[in-house]
Amino acid sequence: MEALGNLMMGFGEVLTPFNIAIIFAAGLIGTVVGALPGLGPSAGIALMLPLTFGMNEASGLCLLTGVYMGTMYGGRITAILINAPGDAPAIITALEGYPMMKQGRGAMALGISAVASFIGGLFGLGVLIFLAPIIASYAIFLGPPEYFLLMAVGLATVMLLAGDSMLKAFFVTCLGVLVSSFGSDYVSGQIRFAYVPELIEGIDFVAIIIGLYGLGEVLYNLEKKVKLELGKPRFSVKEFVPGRAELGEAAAPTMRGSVLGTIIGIVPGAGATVATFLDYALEKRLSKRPEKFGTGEISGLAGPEATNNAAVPGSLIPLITLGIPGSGGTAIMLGALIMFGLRPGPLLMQTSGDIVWAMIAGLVLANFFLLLSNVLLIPVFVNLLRTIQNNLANVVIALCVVGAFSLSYSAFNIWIMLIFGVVGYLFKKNDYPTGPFILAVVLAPLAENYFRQSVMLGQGSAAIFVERPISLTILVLMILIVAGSVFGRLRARKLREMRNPEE
Amino acid sequence: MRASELVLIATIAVFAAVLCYQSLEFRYFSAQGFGPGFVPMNFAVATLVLGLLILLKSRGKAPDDDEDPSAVGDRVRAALPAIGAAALLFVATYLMHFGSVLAPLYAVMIVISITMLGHSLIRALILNAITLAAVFAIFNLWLNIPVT
Repeated sequence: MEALGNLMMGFGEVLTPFNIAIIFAAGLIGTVVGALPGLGPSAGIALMLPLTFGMNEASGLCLLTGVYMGTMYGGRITAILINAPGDAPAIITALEGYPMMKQGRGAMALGISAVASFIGGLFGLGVLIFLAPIIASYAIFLGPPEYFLLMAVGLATVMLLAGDSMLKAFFVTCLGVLVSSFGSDYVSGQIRFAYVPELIEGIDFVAIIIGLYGLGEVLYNLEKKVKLELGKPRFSVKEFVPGRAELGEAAAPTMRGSVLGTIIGIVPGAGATVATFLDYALEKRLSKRPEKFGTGEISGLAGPEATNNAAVPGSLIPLITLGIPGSGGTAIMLGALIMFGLRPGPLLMQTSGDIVWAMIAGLVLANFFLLLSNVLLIPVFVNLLRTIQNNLANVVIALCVVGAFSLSYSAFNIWIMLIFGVVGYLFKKNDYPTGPFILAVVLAPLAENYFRQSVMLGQGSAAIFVERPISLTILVLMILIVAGSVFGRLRARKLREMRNPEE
Repeated sequence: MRASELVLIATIAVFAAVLCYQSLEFRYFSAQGFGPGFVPMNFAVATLVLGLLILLKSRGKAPDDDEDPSAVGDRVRAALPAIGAAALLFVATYLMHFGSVLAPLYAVMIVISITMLGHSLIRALILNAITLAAVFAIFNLWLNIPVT
């Protein structure tokens, strides 16, 4: 009840015409920025930071959190419409959303993802409001062994993203790990494979995903002479508002995704990317038709979308209660909180409770605005795609090149994007799965650091992973996932052989 | 096995072999635990082994229709738009080092429009100018990202 009283106090602070206008604008700006390849939550918040200089704390933080939430909504738009994910969590959205778009159900994919995002965001906010301090107090018990095993669980989902050939999946996973090993090694301080100074910080994975998915798809479509037949721009509510059947199919995955996204979002460092991959793997495992995944399955779209947005409030929990930023976006939020004279940590709720609760109330409001604006904007985005469909290849190329340039304001990331564009094209042409590759690129550096820190903590012994109860639990979970996947594959093969004995 | 798959595996194998060799410069293990050479060395070796396994597995498999060696000319012709677009983009990116990102990009877009998308010269000039004007407005004027 105290939490509700505090939330009402927060609404009292936020519900002024100026703040409402700011939250609405922040959501829209975040949606557009999130939709642009190369620009994710970190870039969105960083770009808006100068605008908050003249504002009071509550208004400034509402603007920044509104942009943060908006980018999570926006990341899915280009992922669904042109297979160019705006940020890493939207990769999974592209896996199911883009096939739906090719089937002429792009507007429906946007509608379902908007609703799932809203529910995920609302669930995460509920947890943030009622359980933040309790959950955060447990998060501090996680150390490098637990973080490593959490990353390893994420990597174990490679088995579920593998597609037809496990060998190819492992091959691209190893390649992903190698690509991620460039740059500074944060454990020893040494720099690996920095052939040019730009590689000291490693290869930017956003440039990789822009190339792999955006440019790779364009090159493949140019070869296959794929032409979109989306018809002329039109407006039809039925096209993008999910019906009872679609909502029924999306309901359970959305709820599961909301829970998983919030929990993983709370764990610092794990973030929305790990959460979406894990949720996708979970949905595929639970699905009655896992073979349909990758061809436009609603459950594979709704679950990860809810996860993605639930992770935003989740990642704010350790930030607010412990002062630990769980992601790039929350790291910039930490800077913003300090800039406003606040001290994120266990005492923040006591010393600046009014501002924090105003920010949370602003997030609740932003989530409602974002559902409304995103559903209303679907016809705009879809009709924009219909308008440019004859020149889509060039539009995507322009967005990929400029998006890669915007990562460091230099041509270096354009080279990276081009190289991985060609790799993406060859992957697609030869049926190599991209999911395991990108999962390895994102998770391997974290997993490597935590693994080596854990072994150092264990004074050279790996027994540390089984001596701690939480790490042992995660280890058992990982073994179950791997064993379940192997068993499932063997069973499917046996069934296939029984049906076609001559194979 | 298709030629494009062979190119992919060979390129990745060379990449892995180079990293494997260079990871010898880093410490693999110390008294405290694993060093910076541990991950690249092991995964480079794993990449090479897996690449070899894929090659061996494909040798034991009957070739698909699209792996027919006599049709290699047709397949290369079909892949020309993708190869051409990628080559144009590499050249354009090189030219971007002279200062402008959008000018070389505009030239590439016009060539792709005319040769691969079947647009007329006037249409290609106008459509791509509008596209880049929108990109410039969003990135440069609104977001202050110095794209010129």
